[in-house]
Amino acid sequence: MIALAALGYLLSAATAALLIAALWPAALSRRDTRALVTCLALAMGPVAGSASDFLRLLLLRPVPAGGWLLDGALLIAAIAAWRYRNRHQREAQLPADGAPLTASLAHRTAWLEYPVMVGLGLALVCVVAALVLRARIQPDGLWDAWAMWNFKARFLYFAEPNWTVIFSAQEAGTHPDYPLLVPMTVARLWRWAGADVAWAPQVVAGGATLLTLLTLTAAVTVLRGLVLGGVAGLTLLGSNYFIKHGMSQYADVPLSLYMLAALAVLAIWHERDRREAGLLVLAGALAGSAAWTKNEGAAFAVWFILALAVVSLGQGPQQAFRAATAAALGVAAVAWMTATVKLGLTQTGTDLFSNLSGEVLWQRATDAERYTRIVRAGRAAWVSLTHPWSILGALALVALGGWRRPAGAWRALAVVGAILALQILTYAAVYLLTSAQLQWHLQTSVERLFAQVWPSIVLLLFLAARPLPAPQA
Amino acid sequence: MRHGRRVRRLAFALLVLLTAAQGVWMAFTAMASVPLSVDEPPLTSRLIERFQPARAALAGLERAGYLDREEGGSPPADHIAFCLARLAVAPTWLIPSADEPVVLTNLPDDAAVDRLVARGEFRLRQRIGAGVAVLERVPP
Repeated sequence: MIALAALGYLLSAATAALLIAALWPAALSRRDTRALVTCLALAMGPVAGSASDFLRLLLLRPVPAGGWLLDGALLIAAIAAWRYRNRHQREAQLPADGAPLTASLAHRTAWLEYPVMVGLGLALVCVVAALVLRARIQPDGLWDAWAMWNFKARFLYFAEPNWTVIFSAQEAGTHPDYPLLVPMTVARLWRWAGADVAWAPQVVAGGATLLTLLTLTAAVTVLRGLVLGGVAGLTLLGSNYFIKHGMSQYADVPLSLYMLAALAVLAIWHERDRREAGLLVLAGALAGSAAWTKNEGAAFAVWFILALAVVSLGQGPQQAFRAATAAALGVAAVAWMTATVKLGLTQTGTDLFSNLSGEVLWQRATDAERYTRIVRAGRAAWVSLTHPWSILGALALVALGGWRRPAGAWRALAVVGAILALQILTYAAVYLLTSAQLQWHLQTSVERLFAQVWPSIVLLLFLAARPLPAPQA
Repeated sequence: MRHGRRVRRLAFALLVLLTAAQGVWMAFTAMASVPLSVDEPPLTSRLIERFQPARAALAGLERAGYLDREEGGSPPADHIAFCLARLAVAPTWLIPSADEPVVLTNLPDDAAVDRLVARGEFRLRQRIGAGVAVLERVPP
């Protein structure tokens, strides 16, 4: 049962790996990017799997072997794409535009790698133990997990011929308009395992938590070297809430994984591989995966394309257009599923803005008390959910690095910072205009929103960080 | 200049080690804060055992603070009943609210599904597995 489920997951992860290798061929020939590519393939596996399942439900439901047919077709398409890029490798073998900022200092800080890696190893053991123990005491996850996310998975698995019932207006309480990556991943594991085993949603939740930690570590390692990569991973653990919420079996941590991965790949494109347009398509596909995970991810994907276009304007309008088009292509490759759910299948819209007239909108937008309460709730969440030393340590590392950086590093910092700022402002705007009672809305969601952006905030901090300047600098 | 750089390198190393140590400590506390013994069954089992049938469940959920209608933002009572009724981990049938046209059962066996259908409130739309079926409410 477990072996079959693992096989199903590995099949889709292999498809994702081949597509990533086709989009970013240079990554496999460099030692420092292999770990990141592995993390990205494991993260994109469920996206490839859910795409196959979604197509099967839409088109091939009456065909008994429809699942196998589409899984196989996707794998063959990925192999073809990878082979095609392999034949045109010349540009991929070009050296990266910029070496990591740490390269000139590698010999000065190499000794730090050992204690940091030992620390990261110890922390990983603790995190895995924490996830397993939490799965034991809350096997069904928390409220939204069994009332919404896994509830939908059960319909996808048990009631397949009637699966569109989850979009019915009668199901308004379970948010029929929400994207389906998490429920489809759980249902896929159940289908491969042959039963609705309790460990499937636990594996999805714990896997996303661990992958977020590893992706952050691997991405910062590519950009800033192994020492700061390890420290970035350990800084993520500066919020216990992130680990705790990881096993709630909600969609916030998977969303945080895709947001983080999209921003990391975008930063790598800016700092190291600007000639590789495939990287932008990959970053866009990761942003599209965020949109396929949760509604907040749709806003993220929009800000992702816009901010990239605006920051790229510095290189000329043509370059900005090309960059935005490549990213939009990647977003569309995944987010068409979200659009299908929202525009074609769901019978109801979001309940956040019901009965929102112009007068009510104006009243809420000009209510100073609402602004105060939103800012207070955000600040309280930040203070209660992070350990001050985690942030102070990272900020001190930024300050020690000084301000001299290559232009690509500044652009990466600007675009990642802009996307995150816009995303947080979007959260604030939703609170400002929400039809739900504000206090209840804040109490029930502000911590989860923190979990969504926390890994990306740590990435941003370490994009700003830079080890000491070279001895002769 | 050389002395300054050395001090900064030392500060960098210290910061790296302290931040890393802090991360390890936080990971340890994340693990240590999880209770080792499970004092009570999981939430779903707790709710289902405690609040049967559904009408009692609603009253019980309100008393337990899960349905704070005064706050105006909590899920409506029918939603909770509907969630419990549809939840496939539910060991027995829970009557959903009146406006639910389609329900998914998780009864002990097919005979239990048939007994429920025989009551006349629902008709069978699709039998999925032992005790698991999609039912449609018969219009009054």
